[in-house]
Amino acid sequence: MSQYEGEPESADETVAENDAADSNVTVRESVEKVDGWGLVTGNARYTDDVPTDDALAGRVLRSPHAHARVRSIDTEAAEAIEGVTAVITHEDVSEQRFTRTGFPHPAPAPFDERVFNETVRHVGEPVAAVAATTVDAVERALEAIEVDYKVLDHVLDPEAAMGSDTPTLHPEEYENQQENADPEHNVVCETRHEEGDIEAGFEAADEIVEGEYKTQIVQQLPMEMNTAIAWIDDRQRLVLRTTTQVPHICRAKIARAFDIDRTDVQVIKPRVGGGFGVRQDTVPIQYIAAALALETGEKVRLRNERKEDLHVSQTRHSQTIQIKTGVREDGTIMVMHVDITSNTGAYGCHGFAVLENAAHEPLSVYPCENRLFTGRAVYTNVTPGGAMRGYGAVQGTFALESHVDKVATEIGMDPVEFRRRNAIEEGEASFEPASSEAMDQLQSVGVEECLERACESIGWSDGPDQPANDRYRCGYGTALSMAKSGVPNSEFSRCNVTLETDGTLTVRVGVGDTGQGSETVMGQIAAEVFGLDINSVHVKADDTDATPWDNGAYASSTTYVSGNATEKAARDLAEKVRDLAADWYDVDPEAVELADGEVAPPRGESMTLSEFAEEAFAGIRGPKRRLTGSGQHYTPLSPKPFAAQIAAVEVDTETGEFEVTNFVNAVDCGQALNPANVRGQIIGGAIMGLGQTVSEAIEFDEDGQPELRGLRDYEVIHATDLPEIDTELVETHEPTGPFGAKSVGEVTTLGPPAAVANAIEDAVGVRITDLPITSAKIWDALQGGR
Amino acid sequence: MSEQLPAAYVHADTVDKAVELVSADAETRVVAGGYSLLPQVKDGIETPDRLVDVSRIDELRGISHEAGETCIGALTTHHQIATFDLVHEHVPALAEAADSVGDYQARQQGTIAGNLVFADPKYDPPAAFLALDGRVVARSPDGERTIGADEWFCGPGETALGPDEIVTDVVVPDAKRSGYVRTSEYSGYAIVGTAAALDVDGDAVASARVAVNGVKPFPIRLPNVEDELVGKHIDDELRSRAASAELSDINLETLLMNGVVADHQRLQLVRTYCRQAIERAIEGD
Repeated sequence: MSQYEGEPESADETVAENDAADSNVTVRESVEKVDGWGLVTGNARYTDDVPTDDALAGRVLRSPHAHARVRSIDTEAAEAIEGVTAVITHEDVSEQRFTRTGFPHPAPAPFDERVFNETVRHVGEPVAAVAATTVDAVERALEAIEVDYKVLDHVLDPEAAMGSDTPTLHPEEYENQQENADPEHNVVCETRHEEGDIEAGFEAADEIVEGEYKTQIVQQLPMEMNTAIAWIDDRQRLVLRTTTQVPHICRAKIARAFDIDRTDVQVIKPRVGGGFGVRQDTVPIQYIAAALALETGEKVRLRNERKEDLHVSQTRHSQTIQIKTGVREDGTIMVMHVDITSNTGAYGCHGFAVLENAAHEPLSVYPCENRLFTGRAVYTNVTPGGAMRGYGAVQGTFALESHVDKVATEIGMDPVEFRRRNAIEEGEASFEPASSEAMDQLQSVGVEECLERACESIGWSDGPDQPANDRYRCGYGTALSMAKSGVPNSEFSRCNVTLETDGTLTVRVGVGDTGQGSETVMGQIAAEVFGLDINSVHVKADDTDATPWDNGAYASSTTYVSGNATEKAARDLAEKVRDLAADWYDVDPEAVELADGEVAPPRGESMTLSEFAEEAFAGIRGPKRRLTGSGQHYTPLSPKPFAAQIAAVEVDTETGEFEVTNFVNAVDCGQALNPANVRGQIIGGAIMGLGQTVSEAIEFDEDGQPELRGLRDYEVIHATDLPEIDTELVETHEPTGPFGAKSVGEVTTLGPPAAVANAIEDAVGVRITDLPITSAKIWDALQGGR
Repeated sequence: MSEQLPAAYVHADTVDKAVELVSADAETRVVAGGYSLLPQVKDGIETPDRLVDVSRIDELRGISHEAGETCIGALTTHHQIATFDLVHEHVPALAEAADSVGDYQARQQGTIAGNLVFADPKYDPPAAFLALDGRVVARSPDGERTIGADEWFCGPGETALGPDEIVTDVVVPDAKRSGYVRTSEYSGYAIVGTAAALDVDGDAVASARVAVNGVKPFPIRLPNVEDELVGKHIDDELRSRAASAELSDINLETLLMNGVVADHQRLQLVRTYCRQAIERAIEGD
């Protein structure tokens, strides 16, 4: 049974540690999502749910070629079509190169692209865009644009791309090159991180185990398509209403790209139908909508069709991962070498950061003195890789957790026992990229308890019951994983909390709620400080005009970073309330109690927060006051959530077909501030991981054309395909987190591929090392083994 | 990238009107549930000038049983077929195939005629229709004709239906000993769908039809498997012979590649699911 409805096991300790008003607890309660009612009744307003009758229809002309130079574009016929207001091409946008990647400037990404590039590097890349008064005119204009392409040789395979006889994708000079870039050979970056003595580690080992693992390209597939509506307001400012996880970064990047003041750009992020990383970047149609609005002075609406999103939306990088491990017979890991080649596609974007994460997160789970990570990200002529839930660690965890099982088998040790022996403990350090300068001593590590609870839940020690018909074999497999709580030394959030004159709170914070519930959690945190009900708090987070800077929702940063900023702002406000009350009653501020929505100075004279606020603003006892608290958070810390996951599978040895029958998630995310929401994140993450495990893939034909006509060709896992899922919350207390919390958004996406691969190995003795795991691969392996 | 929608969309209230509209213009297509046609329009494979919506023609709907045959109106949905007792009783393979189609929504909307006319190698009913030796009743301005299952499937997505014809009924003779089994992609489409139908005289197999979809671009019969079955008594020996039947007439070179399974495993899937279909047929009644 799931644990989330019960009392957290370590609640006593944590309640004692925080000084909140405990009688009216809001955090650690499954309060309803503040936007939930609107979402389930269909009343929520997404980007496209506003009247756009006055908007021009915008559409993008996309490259049919994987690699081509645009010799010329003739737009005359298109412009002559009645209703066409603007046709823009690379000649109409800045020549300054940038990166769409949604980190604060300068992102750890090469500045290797423009809004429209003269050289197109993947099928579907924007070549031109049209705005017109009718959809029909737009369609006809797109057909009327004549592009003269010089088709160039293309390369799809990263190994081939690094060779000498292959085309160079980015021959031109560009800025912000990443570590050891070699653009001539399509190398975006090459990285090496060494600790200890690798050679000595292998010499001291009893066994050396090597393996190679491969992962495929998949997509985030949010329900809502990428959409952008742009207009010029009555004060000549550019307004962009769009699907984004990062409204403030989007605003900054748009302003920079068009060389306009930030104060002249407003980004509105309404309800957003899922993100999962794809909306961390400022996607091409956002720039294009802005460009068309600036060009025409009119409102312009662009929305990708599903097929367009499937073809051009940034993907999860495919990787080839080699691991070499030296181990002692007693199960001690002596040395690890992980080597990764990552396919970043047409543009550098997240190539470097995803590569770093792919090794550092999985390797952190097994601290050992001697470890080496070598890797490179490579350009090819496919859709650019982006950010996707797990961010490299899905690939790395599949490889490492498969490999750990292989090593355990090699030395004849139970894979759970082997993990228990080597897994990270409290006070040990995570393996952090040298560039991040993060503080790496971990203060809350529940990974061992996660493993224990997952094993208990499934009955690991007894093993699976085998069916009477020996055609079918069952197996168990496990995987550990670790994620982060934001990018250390990069994430920044600021929050303002205002006490309204009726005693309610307005929280202004720039987090990007894309359905994950961040506005609810920020509301809970602010309410908790005052002992208020969640309904007494309004969180305003959907507009850059109304909120202070926040990096936005990515890297599992929101609860930890924005949550800390919100808690600080609420406490700052609470202090101001106490100070004023102390002044009124002539007592020590420390002696003023704030609980259950009441302000209680000593000697019994208490008043409700509402009475207090009203009097403060009325100026009855002194000058009029309107109290606002403020807080910001920026940190070298990134506490780590952990998960232990176990898959149970049944394999048909006759055909290779298999089913994941049960799946267990045991997760340490610190304190669960909203257990129902946390459970949603855990299960959702696991399902996304299972989809990558068993079915999802984006493939390109030899010409670089994505082999997808639409959703029916993308084998997304359905609700009816899901196994029984058990979720166990292993609540630790993270002392630096808001009310003890760490993140939870990504960690359960990491384990499913390896857990399933390990379970199949357990069931039928074959190891599948490339994703997705299909019945054909299992059948082939079974034939080879016979 | 945007699909071109047809310029005209008209409803036909009678079969005669539908036939008139379809036969008047080669670029007119019939639409009922739309589950096959609309994806093809979106992909630009079908570019009709005009769609004739026949979904309001009540005479094309319904299931009846008479003289050892089940007659199914063209517009009958998969859901109706899958949940109708008469079909289960007389032609279980057809009910099982209908019940396998896509998901609940697709079964509610998709029709038997649309499925057989588009004859996709990933569809379920075609193999059952072929194994059951069904026939299609079609109408054109020249009148009505009947097309047998062996003549119906002509090529990838091609059938014997003429450009001026529309399907009015699908007729399937009783085959209580029949069964359909399949394995599918996560999308719900079949990878391999197999059907078997046995005609039993006493306790011996008088005739057998075994069909598979998903191997070639259209469903095929497996004569070698059928020959193995004819004349045999229904017993354990028959089951094991069915299981080991030679499948040499399947040309592996032309296996449909859909990226999910490799060729030799596809053959194994055919072996396994074919055997299971035969086992089901043997157990029938």
